[in-house]
Amino acid sequence: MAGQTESKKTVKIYIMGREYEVPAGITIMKAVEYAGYQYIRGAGCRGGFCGACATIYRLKGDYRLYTALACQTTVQDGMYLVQIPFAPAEKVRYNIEELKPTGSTVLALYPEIARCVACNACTKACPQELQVMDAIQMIKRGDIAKAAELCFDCISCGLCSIRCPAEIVHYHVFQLVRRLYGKYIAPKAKHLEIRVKEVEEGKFDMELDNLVKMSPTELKELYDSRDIESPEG
Amino acid sequence: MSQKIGYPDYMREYIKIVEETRERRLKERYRRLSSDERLELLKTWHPDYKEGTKRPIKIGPSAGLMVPHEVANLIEAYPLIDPNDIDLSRIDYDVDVLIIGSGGAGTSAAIWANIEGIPAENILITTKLRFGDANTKMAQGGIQAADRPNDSPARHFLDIMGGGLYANDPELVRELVRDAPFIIKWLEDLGVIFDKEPDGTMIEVSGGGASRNRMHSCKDYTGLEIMRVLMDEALNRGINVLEFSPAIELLTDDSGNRVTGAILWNMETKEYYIARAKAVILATGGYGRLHIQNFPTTNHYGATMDGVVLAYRVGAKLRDLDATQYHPTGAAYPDQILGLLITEKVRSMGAQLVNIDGEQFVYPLETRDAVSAAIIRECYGRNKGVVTPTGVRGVWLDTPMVDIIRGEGATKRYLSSVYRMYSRFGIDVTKEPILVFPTLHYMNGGVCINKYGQVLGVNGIIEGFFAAGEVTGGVHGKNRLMGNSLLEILVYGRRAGISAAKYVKSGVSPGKLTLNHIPKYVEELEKIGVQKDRRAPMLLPEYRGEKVLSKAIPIFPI
Amino acid sequence: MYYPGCSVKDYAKSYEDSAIAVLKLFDVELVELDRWNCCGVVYEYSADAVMQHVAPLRDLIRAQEFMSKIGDNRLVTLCSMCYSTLKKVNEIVTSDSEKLNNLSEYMDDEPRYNCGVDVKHVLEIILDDSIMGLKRIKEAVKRDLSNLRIASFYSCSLLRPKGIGIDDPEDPHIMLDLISSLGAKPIKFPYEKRCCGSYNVVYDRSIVERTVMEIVKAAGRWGADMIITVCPLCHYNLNIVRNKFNIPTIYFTELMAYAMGLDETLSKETLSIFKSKIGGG
Repeated sequence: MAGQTESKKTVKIYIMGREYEVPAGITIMKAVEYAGYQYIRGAGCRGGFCGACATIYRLKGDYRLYTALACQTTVQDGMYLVQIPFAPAEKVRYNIEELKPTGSTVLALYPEIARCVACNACTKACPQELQVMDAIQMIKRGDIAKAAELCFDCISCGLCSIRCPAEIVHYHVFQLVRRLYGKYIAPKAKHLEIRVKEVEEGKFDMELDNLVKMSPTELKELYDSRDIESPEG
Repeated sequence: MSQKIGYPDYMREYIKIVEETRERRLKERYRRLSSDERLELLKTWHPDYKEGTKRPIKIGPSAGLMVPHEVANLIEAYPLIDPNDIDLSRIDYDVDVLIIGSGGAGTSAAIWANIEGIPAENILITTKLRFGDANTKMAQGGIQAADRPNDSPARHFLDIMGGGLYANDPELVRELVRDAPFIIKWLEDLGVIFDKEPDGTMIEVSGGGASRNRMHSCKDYTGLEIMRVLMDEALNRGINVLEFSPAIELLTDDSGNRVTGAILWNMETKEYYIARAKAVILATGGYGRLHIQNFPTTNHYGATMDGVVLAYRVGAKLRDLDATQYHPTGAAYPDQILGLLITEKVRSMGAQLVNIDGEQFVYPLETRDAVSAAIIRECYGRNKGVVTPTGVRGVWLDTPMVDIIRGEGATKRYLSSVYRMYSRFGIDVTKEPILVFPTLHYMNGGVCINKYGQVLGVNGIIEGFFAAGEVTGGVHGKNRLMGNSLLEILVYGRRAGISAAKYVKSGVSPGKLTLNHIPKYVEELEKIGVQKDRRAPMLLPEYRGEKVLSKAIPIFPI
Repeated sequence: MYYPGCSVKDYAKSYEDSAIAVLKLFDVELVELDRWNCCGVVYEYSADAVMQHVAPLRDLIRAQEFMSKIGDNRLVTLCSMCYSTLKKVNEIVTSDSEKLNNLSEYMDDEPRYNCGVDVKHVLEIILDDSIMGLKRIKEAVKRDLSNLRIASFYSCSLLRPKGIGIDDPEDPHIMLDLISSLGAKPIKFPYEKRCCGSYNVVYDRSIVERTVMEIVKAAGRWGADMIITVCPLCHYNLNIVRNKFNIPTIYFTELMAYAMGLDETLSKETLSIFKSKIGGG
């Protein structure tokens, strides 16, 4: 059922300059493996969530440098490509309990964000198509909530940081911004707090202990007769 | 600059049929299966019940346990190392707590061991790929916890037991549902951004087999958001992480009933390290990359069941490995994303499953085993599936229903990763349905543990040895419900971390390092005549092209 | 169209609040651009002639796109540094098409700038008789400020360079006119055109401390109770020594809001400044 029927059509790609002929219509990642490479670095979730397979490439007759996730992008004829195995960057250590959710907090930990010239190279490089530069600008003007929203879908592939002339490490900055928002700005769930307290007080223990002791037949009876909330609430 | 292919013309014709029935279906609620109907459906159509796909394990503490051939082949396999090649006296890492695996379970274990009093410099996480490369990041839909007034941990308990066909360990389930609200609160305090109403109330949706809407989510990047916050917290605490260095064997003391460390393998420099630890926590995840029954998988690159192999050699019991979870909705088209996860949350938010005639054939939020079986029946039993240009069969997941039911913009806001994945290939999921087929998703069973996260052997606990997450079995029985794996890794990651810390603080001294269990295991393997070239753990799946492999030879001796 | 600038959204929020309230009183509405970035003033000081103009040009393009939505080509700023940067680059690309071509190369997918945006400082709007004008301002005053002696501090970027600045750089008067119209006593003092020390505050605070010490001390010697300014950075720097001389620096729009009785838009801190200077009010 894996069903990878190999199409007869092939394309020529250049992996770090070396030419390989690979089946058309497969992802860059599968093409690199088809060519004979076994990944150690450069492959993670293989589903577009982890950012391990950041790739840069050019096409024949086109001066532009493109970015992509190898696991989410189809090979094209005449692609010159290389995967970036690692994006060197220092994550600043901090204690989230001691921070205030302001732009100046972020500036103090990552002062280089002040160097943003709004060149937009980061936005152009983002394989998630996020408004990366706008998110940095939101931090500069102290709008942590908006910044957190703009960078939420970031997968830390590091392509923006490698392209940035101001040498900003966007994904580390964004991690801090999102935690500041989640911890200090987002409203707290009151019903959650109440339930945690109820559990601590042992409100459900007796009922649970009874259930633990039940036989599968008894449980099945309860299970089959339980009422089910409509998914619409 | 990716090529946007969209649907071929003949598939567009089929989509018209789906569009024609949509308005009627919006009002239609498909009947739920009774327990007996579910069992009947499973027996006929679920891959777990397919004949000739499993065999009993022949050796070790769980001899006789039925498992897929792919699993048995790794359990009945020789070690990667010869004990004679290893110098155990040269210790490279000497720590209190060694954590093998850096997903949600391993990382939360590390954080809680630190909270419980083990200094960060005495904790080491070792991991096969990068820090955080794990299925946790790929969990999209959500995390369950009974925290609404109309819900209770007891209800959650009952849903889990029924979903797992009552094969679960009730003690483990009890702790899972009881700790659940606390775990959500902990995440909220760490700064995880949950989907909330303006007043802070969690937006909670339903999931397959759940009797209450208790799925907490962070758009459809729930696992990613949780994982990156945990990673950030672990790094802030100064916990050390060794990347690209999987454990390839555990170490035991003379008694054979205590784990004292592990042999790690630097995959890049090809050297081994000796790590000595007072406590070892196994958190290596599951087995999607074994491609059981040739299914594609949603799992990350490193999901090769290494932990089960290592634990079994030192005497850990296994359970429920006969039950594999196939997620009902893996991508069936386009081929580039074949088998990748389409989160259950798409169905939670209203999308129905529809066959080639534009008709529903199953209630979309049955338990996963049942929905998968129903899809397979539709494609192969009733021939009501749609066939892709590469010959893959699938049924429609009618994604445009989400915006119709939940309001325009709901897909982009709450299902942005699904939207993005398809738009990369020229498909707008708010306008066109998508083709899906079950995909290998989760290892329901695994290593036996108790509620403290201690690993169990035939004679009770194995000293100094803890485990958490997908590598373990018991919590989910024969079938896991959506949103309980993210919960499990955090509940049991925390428990394993705290238990390991308590064990260390009870004053144990570092144990002797031996590989005594290896010759014994090898002897058993030889007795049953396992071929010599079958070795494990697998570490990485083999995806190189056949042409290359047929000519590849090892000219540099290792 | 309204371009706020970073400091106005963060440090100088009171500037924005008071300005919007005052303009609203005269039915002037500021519509904030839906997308904007830093004006690029920081890079005015960089040596790279292209890089320093990328950010302001992008803002002008975004204003151009927004223009059609609200049907007005005027882009208003509060911060004088943003004003100066945007205005200058607007002039450069309007008069030098080759420069515009070069810069457009770096604009990737943005549409081409067709030079139709008119950059304005908010003071120009306020002083324009067809929009507000001093006469109407005088009429709107509700409080008696006749005992209040106020020095005006022009920021460099409001006056210079000639052609960009909105007043005579040698002998500016618009702030004094405004103070008179509000009914307070304008204090013209010799340091009104001095540089406050600007971004040196980031690199070497002592340079700025020396400069602002002279300025604020002089304002005191010439009898001022307080200083008004148009620039968030001047505001920040001058206030470094506010306590030493008991002469606070506020935004001119705060003074206007106070004069017109728009107390609800003013911060507690600003209100208490006024109270301490004229007692009760």
